[in-house]
Amino acid sequence: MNKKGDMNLMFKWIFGTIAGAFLLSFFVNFSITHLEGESLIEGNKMSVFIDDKLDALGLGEGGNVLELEDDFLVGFECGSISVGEWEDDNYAERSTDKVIFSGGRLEGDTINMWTQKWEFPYRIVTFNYLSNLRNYYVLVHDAGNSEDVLNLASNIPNNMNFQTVGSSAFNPSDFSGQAKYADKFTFVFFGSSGYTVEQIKNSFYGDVKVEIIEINLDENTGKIYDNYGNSEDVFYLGDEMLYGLMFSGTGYACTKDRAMERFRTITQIYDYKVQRLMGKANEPDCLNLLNEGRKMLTSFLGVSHKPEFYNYFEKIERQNRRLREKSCSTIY
Amino acid sequence: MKKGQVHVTETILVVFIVLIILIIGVVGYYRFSFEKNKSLEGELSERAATIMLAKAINLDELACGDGDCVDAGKFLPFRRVLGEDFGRFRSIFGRKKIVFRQIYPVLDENVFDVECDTAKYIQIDYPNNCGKWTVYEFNPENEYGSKISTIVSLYYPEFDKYVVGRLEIDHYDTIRK
Repeated sequence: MNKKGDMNLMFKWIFGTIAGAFLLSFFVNFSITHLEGESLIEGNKMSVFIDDKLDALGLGEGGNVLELEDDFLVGFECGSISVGEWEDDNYAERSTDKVIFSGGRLEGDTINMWTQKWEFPYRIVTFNYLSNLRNYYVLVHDAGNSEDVLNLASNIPNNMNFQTVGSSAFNPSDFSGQAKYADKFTFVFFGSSGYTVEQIKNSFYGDVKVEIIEINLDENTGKIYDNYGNSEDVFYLGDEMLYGLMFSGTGYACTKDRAMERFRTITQIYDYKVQRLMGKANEPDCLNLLNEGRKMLTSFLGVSHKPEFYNYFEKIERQNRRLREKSCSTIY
Repeated sequence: MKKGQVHVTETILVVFIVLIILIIGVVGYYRFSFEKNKSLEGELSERAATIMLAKAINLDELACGDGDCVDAGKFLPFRRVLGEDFGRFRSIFGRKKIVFRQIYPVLDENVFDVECDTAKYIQIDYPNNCGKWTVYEFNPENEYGSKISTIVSLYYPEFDKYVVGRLEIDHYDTIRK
């Protein structure tokens, strides 16, 4: 072959290589962009799907199972629903107005849920309690409160993965078999636990997350010990919120604050409503009762201590009953 | 033109045509994806509105104490609370217009479309002097919305009276963020 032919062939090879590399990089880039986009849409679709399902299932009360069709890591932080890991392509986060009590991050293809209306004394918001088969809840009762605890437990749907045990028979190592398949174990002691998080973790194999909650049913208070043994004192308003404490553990305080925000909004609406009803009341008795009710509601709005909440709860409930008995317009 | 130059020109021409075809394909693909996403957005918006329809009836801010009806006595208080914290409700409802109407007993034709506000409420002929409550509206871009509606039981606590009402939701094709 002559020199000119060599040059020609070499030029074709160089040109072909550059053009080929350009086309190849284009296709690779195009595919990556497409896959990332699809992943992002997938994550967002799943977060919208979960939010919509919670909306739909939250219209009623009772237990339900949310089928996700595939394995997902779903996080229920305070006021947001996230899908996937933070650094993943399909990570999506969506804010939500729902009050969700859950163990934080749930992994798997199903989410077990239970919904209940929170009334204090009027309907305030629907509570969503979420769990899955890798989150275990053990309710430990003692001789003094076993009836109350078993009564509380009887309202919880079976799909919430909980079990009850008497304190005399309680031994953490009895749960070590289940702990092998668990992401998290929450021990709810009605009374003092007598165990530390460290002690319970030592009776388990592997790295399962453990939380302890001590509940005082007489005072409507609780103490939450996180996975590292740090503690936090909390209170609850009504059984619905007590269930929230059990199912959310360390995430309880923030979710409770969201519930209290809704409580204030609803109370404010009732306060304004009663003001207007007073303008339409013809009977002096009704007017007086409504006026008293309005004052109670205004005070209820400013309450911040637990005993006062229960005090006004009873007062407003009684006032509403009186209004009904007198055939007046009621508060709620 | 020499034979070598013809070969090079042919090669460039082929690559050029291939590139043109590729560009047309990519542009077509992106347009198709865009349209697909747009229709997905509309579909999700409609689904969200349908859920909102059921949700609005049961919304604790508006529902009766027993949850079986919508409390008309809460509409004006709700609007007042809404004005105090619009941002929070905007994140719940998104771009929508939510209206309740009384449909039976049938109101006079001239009041059917009259908005019930505080001025109407304090009059002696309330609730026969107005026919609708716009409890929420957010449409910053003045979009045309699609309407869905459902029948509801409306309760007037002032008169202990139940009437038949209709909940109408206009939704604008933007998914709630």
